[in-house]
Amino acid sequence: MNMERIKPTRSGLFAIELLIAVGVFSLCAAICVGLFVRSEVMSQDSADLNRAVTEARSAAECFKAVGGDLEKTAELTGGQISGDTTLFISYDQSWHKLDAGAEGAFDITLTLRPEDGYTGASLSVQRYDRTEKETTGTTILFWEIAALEVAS
Amino acid sequence: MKRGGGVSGAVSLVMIFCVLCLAVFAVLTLATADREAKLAEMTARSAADYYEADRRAVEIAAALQKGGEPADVAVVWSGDVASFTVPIGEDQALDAAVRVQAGGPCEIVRWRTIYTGEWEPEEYLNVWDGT
Amino acid sequence: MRKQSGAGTLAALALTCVFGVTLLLSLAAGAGVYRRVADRVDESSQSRVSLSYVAALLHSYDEAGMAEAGTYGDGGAVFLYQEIDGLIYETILYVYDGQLREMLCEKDWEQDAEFGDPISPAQALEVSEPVPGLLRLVLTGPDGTKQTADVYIRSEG
Repeated sequence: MNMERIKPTRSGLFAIELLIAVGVFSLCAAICVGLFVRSEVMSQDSADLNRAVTEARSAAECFKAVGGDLEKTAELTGGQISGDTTLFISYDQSWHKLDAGAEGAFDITLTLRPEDGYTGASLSVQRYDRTEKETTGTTILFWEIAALEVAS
Repeated sequence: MKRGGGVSGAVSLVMIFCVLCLAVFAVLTLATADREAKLAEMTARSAADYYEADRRAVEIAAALQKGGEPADVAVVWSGDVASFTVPIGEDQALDAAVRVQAGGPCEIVRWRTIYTGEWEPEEYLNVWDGT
Repeated sequence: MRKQSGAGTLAALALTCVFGVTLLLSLAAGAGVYRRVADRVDESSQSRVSLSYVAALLHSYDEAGMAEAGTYGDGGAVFLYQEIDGLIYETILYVYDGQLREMLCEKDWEQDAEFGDPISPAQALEVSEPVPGLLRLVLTGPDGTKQTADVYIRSEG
């Protein structure tokens, strides 16, 4: 009986090395891609928070400048009043202001709360994730602000 | 017996180099995003502290206009002008002064943020004092 | 036998090329993500250093007669006054020669706009007052994008 030894060929060894390299790279790439995705989400959230603070500051300053008058605040900020006590300012994904009544990705909500001698309000910024079935809102900022009466 | 060619070793080298580059990119990106997230949180907290102090100062001014004197804040009177301070976070405060007027809204004389933390000037430079 | 080893070598080389292209694509994708994150950080810091800085300065100078809007340099400007040892000093925030600048000098001292300390790159600053006491600042960045911030000067006079 002749026993022939099977010698490994050059291309065979190369193929095995390639397989191992692909396996190792796939594992490392999977970890790195996970880190990239996490970084992208964190970065987008930070940018949204920074813009939310800037827009909320402007809305609060306008509210204080008119002594808590919601109609004048709506004129200054380009928002829409709902039910006499609530002002909505809508923004799209890139924080551009939308027309009144439009469904945006972000909303600033100013709700009046008359107090004794001054006008109080709660100011919140919500982010909306809209899908076909439902819309989920997350509050990313919430302040209580107040305005003294302004001499006319 | 022929040895394995240089090509097979090169594949592993290139793979290792690319994995290293990818790992460096990933760590850099995560570090940058994390730093920015912390800064955004600090900015938001600072703004929230300011408007909280502002709201408290408005409450105090409204109470003073009505003739009341808030119990938990020191008010200094100079004629008809009342001055008081409301802390903003740890290192800042809102320094306010209002003129209380009978029969009308109070007039705000001063409503500025001031730094109340510790500050030591650096004096290692010999700055010319004019003499 | 030769044909088979030739085919095997070709297959291995083809796989190597595909693997190499995958490596390059993944590196390019990683670099692209880092570029996007770095751009967002740059944009946030640009906004933080410029308009937020001006707003914070305005809040710290909010006293009767100590803050007002005007014109200087290439357009609108904010003038902030403070008294030190009996002298009135003014801090002027304005845009000149592609930079948002800050200049501290004695009030009404005629200074060239180029002597202000640069704060951040900007093309123009517009300051308006839609209602009394409310300063609307519109800063045009170096890339032409406009940012708006409203600051209410609470003190009267």
